[in-house]
Amino acid sequence: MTRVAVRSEDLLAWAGALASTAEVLRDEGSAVAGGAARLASGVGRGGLPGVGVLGAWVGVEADAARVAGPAGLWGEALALDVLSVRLRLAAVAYAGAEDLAAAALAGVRSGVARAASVGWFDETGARVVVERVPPRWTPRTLAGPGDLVALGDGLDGGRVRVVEVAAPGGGSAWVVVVPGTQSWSPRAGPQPFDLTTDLAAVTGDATLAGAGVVAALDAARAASARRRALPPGALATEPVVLVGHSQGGLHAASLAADDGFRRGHRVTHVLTTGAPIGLVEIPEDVRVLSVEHADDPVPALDLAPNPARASWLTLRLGAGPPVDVARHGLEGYERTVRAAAGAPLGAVPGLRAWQASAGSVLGRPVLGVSEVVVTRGARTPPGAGWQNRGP
Amino acid sequence: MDVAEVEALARRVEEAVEVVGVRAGGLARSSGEWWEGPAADALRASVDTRRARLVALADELAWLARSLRALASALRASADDGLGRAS
Repeated sequence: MTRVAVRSEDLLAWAGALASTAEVLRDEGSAVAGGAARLASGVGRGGLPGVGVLGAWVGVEADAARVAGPAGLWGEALALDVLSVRLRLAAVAYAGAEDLAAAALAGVRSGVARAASVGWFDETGARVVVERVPPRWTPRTLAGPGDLVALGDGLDGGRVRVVEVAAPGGGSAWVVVVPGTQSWSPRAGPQPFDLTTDLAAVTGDATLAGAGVVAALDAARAASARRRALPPGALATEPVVLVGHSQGGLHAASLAADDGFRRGHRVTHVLTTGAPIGLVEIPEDVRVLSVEHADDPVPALDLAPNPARASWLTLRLGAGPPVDVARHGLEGYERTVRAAAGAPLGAVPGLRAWQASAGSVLGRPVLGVSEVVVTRGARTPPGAGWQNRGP
Repeated sequence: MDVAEVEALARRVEEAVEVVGVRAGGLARSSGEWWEGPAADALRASVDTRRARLVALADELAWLARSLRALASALRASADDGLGRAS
């Protein structure tokens, strides 16, 4: 018989140590990548004296990118955070404090305060600031999952994109595109979609980014409600499709699993590309499409396969060990999804069914697009609440 | 490209080598010996994997630091050569 003896507080401490190491790795990666970027800028301005120096620089630049990027410090930080999350969840389970875990998972807003109350996180008092910006996306009909993936293009600087389409039975349906990690060499700062918000999203560490996404969607829906002369609450039953690449996929999946979010938003579909979401407990009534390149290391960072169930379709494409960072780019995933969607009927089992189930948004007239920039504001006194600027 | 900037980055990368090495050692120490059972074993194995990867990353960073030093030397030599021709 296996003997299990554990002290939950020690597990939490261990989790904290792993998270701390992850944070340090991010800092180091940021320093290396930032330094290399400055040098590259210098090369751009003044060039290099001679072929030998140029060759040396090309090698240095490539090495810096690899060591700091998804196959290096960035990836290791995220992997350690995955382990940290596992430990935190295990600690809660072992302590018999399921209610605490539920509270931490319960709402993108309340989760911050509850989690902070047990000393897990330190973002108490920080506030999310949402500012409307001119959309970069030109409205056009979303014909298939490839178009949904392509919506993630251009979401830099903490930009969240919300697309409103005419639902088949009247009313609207919503596509929310969650930005991924903006760079593999981020600095923790005002932009919440950075590497300080990673897989710890599961336990609330990414609640600022999550709250920003919620604010973006709610602002778009409020504008729609005004246009349609409806009370905002009347839109709560309209379908919501969450789309995200990489870390954005993680946020999308976490929101779909969040009871607090789901109470006010009817999440029907989640589409992720290159995202490690195997540990996220998405309800079975949400249709999930996860696209993973077999040789992309990022979706494998959670060391867990995606659940095998009827409502969760995982397209794992390609071959080889997950070591090719170049396979993580959004553009490559877009090409993959378009190719899969265009394959002969039956060639990609399950994809046509998923596409058909997403008929609330696919092939429907686009009514509008709104984009906001979400930033992490300065800390405010306890109880000051959330503050939005703009829409 | 400024030689001083290259050397500054080389020093920063060398610091990173130290930091990552220390953190890898820290992972080895925080192995949670008191935790037993299959879940513990699985997680401990995962931590070991990450620790080994950090050790490898420290090596890669050290290589990068050496490459930066070489680049700085090449830049300096190129500058010296240019001065020699000019004089």
